[in-house]
Amino acid sequence: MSDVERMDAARDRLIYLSLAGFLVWQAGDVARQVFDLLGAPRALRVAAIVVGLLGAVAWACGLVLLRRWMRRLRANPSLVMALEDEVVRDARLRAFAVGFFATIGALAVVTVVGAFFPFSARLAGQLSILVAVSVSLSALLHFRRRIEVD
Amino acid sequence: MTETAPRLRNTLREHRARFGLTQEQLAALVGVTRKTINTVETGRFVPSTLLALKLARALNTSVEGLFQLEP
Repeated sequence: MSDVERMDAARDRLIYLSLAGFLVWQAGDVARQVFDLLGAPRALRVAAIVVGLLGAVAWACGLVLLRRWMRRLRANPSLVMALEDEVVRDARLRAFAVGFFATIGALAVVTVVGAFFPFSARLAGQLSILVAVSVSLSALLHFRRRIEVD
Repeated sequence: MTETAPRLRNTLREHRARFGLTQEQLAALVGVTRKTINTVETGRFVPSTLLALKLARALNTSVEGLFQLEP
């Protein structure tokens, strides 16, 4: 397997790790806020915080590894050209478009639900960011996986 | 009458086979990933003019020799 293929596969693994970490981190934090709103028992709130922290650690590890991956990429200009080719850019562009429309949808839902069940602006913002990041990254992985289907 | 958009057919796989190149080897020659060669070969992605020219040059043919509009 060439360096290009190895780094391409590594990039996918890092995106999976970042997505999983981000989802667990944010889900834990959103759950804690919902438990606060509902006046849930302290044990549940602590559990949500612990889960969120584990997710945050996984996400941070993903970021560190991604920075290392990018340093290796920058050190070799021929790798940059191959790993940022037009199919990769096309998949990224389409993933951003999907993320954009999902965010608009999430904001609409938050606005409608907020009219009936008021909740904090922080929670509304966090839910929107959660949708934006998770949908964009999932769409990117989906488009990249579709590329691989022979 | 409705007019349908013409589809692009390619003979990349045949040309590649003639040179005994794998997708990965051709990808290295033109500076893209193997997945990109795969998506072009299977018609899931229409390459840019630049990539089409690079592919044609690597396979010692013309762009028209690699890509044709389906009737």
